[in-house]
Amino acid sequence: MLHKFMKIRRKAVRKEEGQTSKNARFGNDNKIKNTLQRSGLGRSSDEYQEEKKAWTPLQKGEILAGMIAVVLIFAITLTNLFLPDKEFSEKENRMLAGKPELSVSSLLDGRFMKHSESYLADQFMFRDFWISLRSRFQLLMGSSDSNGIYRGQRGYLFQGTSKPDQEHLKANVEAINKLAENTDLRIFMMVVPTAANVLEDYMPKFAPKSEQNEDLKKLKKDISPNINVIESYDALKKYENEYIYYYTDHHWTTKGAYYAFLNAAPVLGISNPKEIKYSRYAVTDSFAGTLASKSGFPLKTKDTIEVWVPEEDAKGMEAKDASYKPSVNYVVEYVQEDKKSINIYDSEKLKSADKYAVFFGGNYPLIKITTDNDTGKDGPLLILKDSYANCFVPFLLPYYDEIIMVDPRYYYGDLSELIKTEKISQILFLYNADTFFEDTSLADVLTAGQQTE
Amino acid sequence: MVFSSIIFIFAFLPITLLLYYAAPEVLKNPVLLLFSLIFYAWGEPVYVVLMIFSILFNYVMGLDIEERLKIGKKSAKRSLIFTIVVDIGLLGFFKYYGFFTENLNQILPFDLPVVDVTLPVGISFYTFQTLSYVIDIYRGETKVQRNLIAFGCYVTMFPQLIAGPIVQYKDIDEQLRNRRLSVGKAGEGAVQFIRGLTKKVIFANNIGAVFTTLTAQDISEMSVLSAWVACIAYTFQIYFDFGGYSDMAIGLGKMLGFEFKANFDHPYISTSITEFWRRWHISLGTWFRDYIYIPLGGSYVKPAKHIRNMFVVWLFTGLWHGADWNFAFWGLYYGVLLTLEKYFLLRYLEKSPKFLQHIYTMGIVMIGWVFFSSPSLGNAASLLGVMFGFGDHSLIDDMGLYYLTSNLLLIGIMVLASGPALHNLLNRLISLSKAPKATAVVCYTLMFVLCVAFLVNETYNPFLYFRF
Repeated sequence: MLHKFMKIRRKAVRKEEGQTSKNARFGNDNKIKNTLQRSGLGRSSDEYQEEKKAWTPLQKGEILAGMIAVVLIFAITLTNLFLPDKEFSEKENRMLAGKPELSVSSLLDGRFMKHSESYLADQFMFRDFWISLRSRFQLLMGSSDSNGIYRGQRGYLFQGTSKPDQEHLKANVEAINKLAENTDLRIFMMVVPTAANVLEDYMPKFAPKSEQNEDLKKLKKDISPNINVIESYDALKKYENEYIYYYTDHHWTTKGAYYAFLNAAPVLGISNPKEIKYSRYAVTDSFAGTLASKSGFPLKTKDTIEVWVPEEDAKGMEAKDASYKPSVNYVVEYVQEDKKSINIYDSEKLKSADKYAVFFGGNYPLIKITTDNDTGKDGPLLILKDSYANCFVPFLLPYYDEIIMVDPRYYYGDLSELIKTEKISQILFLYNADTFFEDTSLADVLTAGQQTE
Repeated sequence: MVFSSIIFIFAFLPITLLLYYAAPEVLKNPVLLLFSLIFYAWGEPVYVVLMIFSILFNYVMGLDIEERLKIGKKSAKRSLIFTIVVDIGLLGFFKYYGFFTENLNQILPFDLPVVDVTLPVGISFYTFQTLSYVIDIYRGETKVQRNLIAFGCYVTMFPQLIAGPIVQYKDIDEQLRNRRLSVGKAGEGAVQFIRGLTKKVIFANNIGAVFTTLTAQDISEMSVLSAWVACIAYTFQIYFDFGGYSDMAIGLGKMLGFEFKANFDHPYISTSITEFWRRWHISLGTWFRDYIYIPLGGSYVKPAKHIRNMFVVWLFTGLWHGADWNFAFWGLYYGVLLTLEKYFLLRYLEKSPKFLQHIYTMGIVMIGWVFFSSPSLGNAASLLGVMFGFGDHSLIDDMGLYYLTSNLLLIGIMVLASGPALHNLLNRLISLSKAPKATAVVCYTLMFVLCVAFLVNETYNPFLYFRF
């Protein structure tokens, strides 16, 4: 009984749905013939005209818009195809993906697909236009962040502070502490707060508060008492109204670095840091930094990069006096690149997008600076650092015989070996808080040589 | 591959369209099948073999069931049951094996071997499609498909392959043999694709980023406001993600000459849960009704049996969405509510003012999404706890305020877009303007260009439906 009932019920349900194909399926042959005739592109133009007449203005508009979209898709596809590939994006400051290589293994594990996708996105026509269109639209919608960059007051762009990568942070701290226990090296640690923390008053309204200070406090607690922790927050906060961070870049300015240097000097054993007066030279006023390119936000102002030169050197340079001798003579050696220079500044970089690289030409795994100072200190200073150090180190130059800078992100050598052979006497960890809390390479570099010992 | 990607729109789609339109009638299905397989293999270069097996198996079993029907129902039934067991078995292994062993190993005295299988994309969708095919043949509701290529097209057709709608074979049988391609249909299809793309890329991805950021914080530190903003964000994300994807699928289908039924019909304007489920993921609801609920007797049985039927259908509906307890709970939650509505709640509801009906419905739906979106039941409970003021949580915090204020306009637009209002407005703008064609072209081109801008700079484009 029930079964029969259900059958009827099922039929009824289907009727409600309005099966459209039923007629066609069981309908007469003519109808099917007609449909066949009309199918595909082989229809007569009469029928097309007839169909066209029945369209409402709305339909006409939609259909035209749809056709134009299809044309647009083809046009963009062809343009992408014929536009020559770019190797490097100046604006984003990174290598762009090249043509993917096709092989059985890359097909099977999906590498080919992934690579094709990044190739197509990276080589997409007028990339910069699309990126700025998107961020302008987001601003229009009332959002003030794009790709993790906040558009703050006074033209400041801020990189939102990052949450510590706990696992790596723990390993890094352990490695640093171990280093401090096993040697009689003097170790300093300076993790510099970033703009989103120091200048938080200029962040957009209600923007999530940075927890960087809490993280820094915790770091100080976890770090071995054998290490001198240099805190820079108060020293920088005091000058929050001055130009201590770039508007469009995640770095601090030379001025910011100078204030932090004055604050750090007594701990480092530099007794009279204000003794040397500096002349300030603006080497560019058209610096649009990483935050500008990452966010694509329209800029209120571009940045000025300053190079600070000791006053007596500046006088000598300006007088164009042939007998002028710089206060410090030094040689910068890029060890792995096998390159030497007598200048810590690389003015070529001012022509590129990454103008901050004017300091030391950017980040290198191992840089050795030998000066003609005779300070009588017992050995070179080793700086384990990120790019924040690049505009800070010039202020240290007059006070050390030799400074060795290692960027653990690019350094694959044996650090303990380096410490031994170079007779290092002091180590300074100099990072900005964002890089430090997200660093994944420090522990590896610090513990690298230990197994072989 | 997903539709909302540069590679689909600016490589796969133009090549496919070009070859598909250029191909003569007899080659259209083979071209479609070939490109659908490429589309699938792009994301699942290994599991495409599984899908091809599924096609061959169900093709052969369809023929077998039809042959046996001539002999007798009983023999055909055996064949059908075998087919269902294999199909469900594959789905069960790839989707639920991990879940079952994890739970069974906790109660069994011995341990079942744990096999780490990743879920093949779209398996839940195409299994349901092949099931509808063999069952309908057995029921005599559709003729068998003797053309393997046409059947392959039905299973793999790239517009609906990985996120639906779940097309029943009988709805598409005729179209597989002959369908109309026309400028009108292609144009309308493209426009629907753009609407879907906008929903996914502009709405779902942006509001989804808010949800992800807010729920990344520790629940214990969340404010009441943050919890609500997160819940609202997810409510919009899931609708515009899934609904947008369905729109894109239907639009692409149209461009290829197919007509699929609508999958979403403005679910958030519903005045009851019963209505909500008539408007939400319609193709899934229809499938469960046709192949589980009604065969069990539906509602035309004694209340006790009816309640059992509801329980079964909604447990399965929940688990279909994911192999985890929170999905099972989410399904049963709706089973209970729908039963309550049927037996008495609906009568009271109809007498209450309209706005109360809306608040009731959206409240239930949003609480449902908390269970749906949470990594575990405990997590869902804590989030609901924050939302309803249990425990020591601040009412408002900067995080919640920031994401609320900076997305207020977006949320406002999404409210309008959830109902028919925004689409009607756009249509009126086009029809009533002095130059409807130009207006339509400007509006849709702008939408498309904006979507491309977001896709080129894609920082956040997760695809929610890989789990199904």
